[in-house]
Amino acid sequence: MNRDTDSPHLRLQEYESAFEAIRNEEVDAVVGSRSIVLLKLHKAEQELRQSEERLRLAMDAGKLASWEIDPATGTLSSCRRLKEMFGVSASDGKSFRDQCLALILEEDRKRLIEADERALATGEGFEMEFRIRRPDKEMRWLRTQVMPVKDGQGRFDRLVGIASDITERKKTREALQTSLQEKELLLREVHHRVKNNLAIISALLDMQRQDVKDPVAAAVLRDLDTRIRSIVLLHERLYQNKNLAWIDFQDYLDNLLHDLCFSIEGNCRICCSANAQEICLGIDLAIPCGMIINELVTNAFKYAFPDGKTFDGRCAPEIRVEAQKENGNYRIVVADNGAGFPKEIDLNNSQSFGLSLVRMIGTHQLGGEFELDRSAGTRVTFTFKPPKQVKHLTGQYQRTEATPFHP
Amino acid sequence: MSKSDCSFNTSTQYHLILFVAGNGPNSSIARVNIAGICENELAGRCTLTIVDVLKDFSAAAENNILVTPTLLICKPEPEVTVIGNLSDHEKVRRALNLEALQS
Repeated sequence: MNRDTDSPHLRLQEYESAFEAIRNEEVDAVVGSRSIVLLKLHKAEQELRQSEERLRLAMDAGKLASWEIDPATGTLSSCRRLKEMFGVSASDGKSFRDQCLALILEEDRKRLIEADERALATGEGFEMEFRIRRPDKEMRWLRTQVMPVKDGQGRFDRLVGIASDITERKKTREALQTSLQEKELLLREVHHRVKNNLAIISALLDMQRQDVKDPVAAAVLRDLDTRIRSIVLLHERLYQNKNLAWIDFQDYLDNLLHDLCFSIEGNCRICCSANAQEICLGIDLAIPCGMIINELVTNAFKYAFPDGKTFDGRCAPEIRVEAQKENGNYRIVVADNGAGFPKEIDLNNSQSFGLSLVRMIGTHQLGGEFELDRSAGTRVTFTFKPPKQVKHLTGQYQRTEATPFHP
Repeated sequence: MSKSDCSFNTSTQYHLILFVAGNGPNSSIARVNIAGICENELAGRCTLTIVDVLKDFSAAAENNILVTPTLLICKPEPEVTVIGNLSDHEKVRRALNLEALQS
């Protein structure tokens, strides 16, 4: 099998063929005079190419451009897409970088250059959005994510990053923001109008009351008026709030107690205080809770201090309202240090309209429980778990069906 | 080439040696390619020896094989080598002097 390859010309030809085959990746092993070298390179290179291809496809899918800045030479090298984003076509890295920088809006350019310098100094990457004015005068928003890269000596000497055009996303976000603001304005307007209409009803009731001679009828009208005003107050708080969805219950209670104190008691000799810190309720819960508190506090004002004295006759008359949240349950306490609830009145069977209302809202609508403590004045504790779907307050306190949601 | 060459070609006997490195991807491709040629164009008039250089290094050294896969056409003389995975059929046909059959 010995072969004559002594001819230098033939040998040279074979070498050339061998090199060509290696270049074409058609070779598995190189045979030396004493050993064989297996070309694993082939596989590794193939994997690398696949990985590069995958990365390229992913970058294409995300419409991302990759780039690299060498601050020492001031050059910017990038893929084709970055040139398309900027709309420039420089051939060398130096003028490409200069062209790109010139297109970035001045204040953004300053920010970007500062951030680049900071990244090289600290070794920490950053993200930034900036505007460019393309040669065709079109304004575009770009977003870049930058990472500093170390050289052989461990110094950060290059910046590598990706960039994407976020103009459309920005436009969508702005449109969404505008639409949201419009909705907020509209909602505020709705709350304002509801409040105004309820205020008109309240004013009508007040006028009627002044016209009524019968003291019982006048009292009924006044109670009705305070009930309506407790709801007016909620809508007022809502449209004056920054947040239209939640009511700061502390703020609401302060206002409610102030109103009640002024309208029922007149000269405010009973000390009123509320503590509902960090309790925020949606309008679905705030209305029923507000009505319960309104009734119980009105009751206390009217009956707790018949001769202006406390249960022990020593301390000053006081009505306290507390709201707390514990393990997902709400607890509302309305307490006074007055004469105490009459023994014959039971919260569960009372014929009084106000207490019936409290019971109906509390147990039927909110599914909660009441506890009455008459040991030192009156202390009514109402505990409830906020339902996922709050039953809405209707004329007859009937359960409302949840409407299916169609987007 | 002339037609007389063609008649000469059809009766030529071939002796081929394929040097491979185990089941490397290119060696496997070369095996398939040469088997195809032996079964078709050279059917009945060729002998093929496959040498795995990982098992028989001396055969590779004796024949001054540089890389694998390499096809060594021992007969007809003069000896010719084809380096690579033999996917370039034209190149292999030229080396085997089979071109005349097509023309």
